[in-house]
Amino acid sequence: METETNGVAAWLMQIDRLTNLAVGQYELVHIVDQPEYTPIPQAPEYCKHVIIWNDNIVPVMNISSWVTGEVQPEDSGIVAILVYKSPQEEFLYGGIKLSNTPVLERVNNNQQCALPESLAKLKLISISCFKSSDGDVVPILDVTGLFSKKISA
Amino acid sequence: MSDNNGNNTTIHPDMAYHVSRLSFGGIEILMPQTEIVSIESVYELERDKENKKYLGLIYKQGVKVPVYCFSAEMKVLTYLPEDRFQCVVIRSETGDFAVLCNEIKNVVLSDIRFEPIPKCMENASVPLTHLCLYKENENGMKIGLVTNAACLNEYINL
Repeated sequence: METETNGVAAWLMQIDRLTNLAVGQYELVHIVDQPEYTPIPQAPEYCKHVIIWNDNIVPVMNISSWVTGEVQPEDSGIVAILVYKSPQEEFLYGGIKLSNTPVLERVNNNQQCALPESLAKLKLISISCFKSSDGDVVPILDVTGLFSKKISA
Repeated sequence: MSDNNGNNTTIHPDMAYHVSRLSFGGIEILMPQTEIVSIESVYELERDKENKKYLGLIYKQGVKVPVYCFSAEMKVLTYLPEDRFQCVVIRSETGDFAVLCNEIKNVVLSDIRFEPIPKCMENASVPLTHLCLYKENENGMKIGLVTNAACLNEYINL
């Protein structure tokens, strides 16, 4: 349970040079380096690939591409495997592309802040936001919302 | 395949699944073998350069069959790539149509599990019914892109 002194642990995940996102400690279950991508024809540009992880077919979201609307080069990179639950309480998995290895940080309630206008699009896929120890504004990802429906472009 | 509630079911490992594997533009799609009518040579193709939707026609027992050519993104191509030598004729409820391929192989897959298209990548125009995970060889599993004649026909006519 969170206390003012020790907070809760969250993974800070860098999705591009400027943006970090956070998920709870137990929502990130694995990091895959250089996965083999299978492209899905006509899938949205920000979610064009699936990978195999642990005998599961996992869709991989490129949130940076979704935010900027830019087509990004196909590089292997790092994929964070996130877990969420279906309405039937099954565990399901989704991946997001990272530009760096995630970092575990403890977060307190008093770090909560508003999402700046420059990150407004991320509101659609976030449940809250906080200021990290480095002073960066970090949206907390709504993992279920991100993978259980098509997000608006 | 998934049931009406979208839940996955696993086909028993002993059960064989007979599919045709169509390769073009660097991708492979899987179709039930029962929906394949025949395989023709690209030399049978009669180009129709005026038509923007299909590449040309072939004649099967006197009936015109439109021939489609797709990119890896399944975009309709109106030119003939050099590596498409085979033409697979597919039977749908509304008539036959054909797709140009690099290679067409009938394969029997086992240890196969079907899954719906992930909700976050659902798009009205994705020309697939399912994804699947199957055992490719002793070294590991492979992801398959599954479609059928009705789905492809609907995609072509979108």
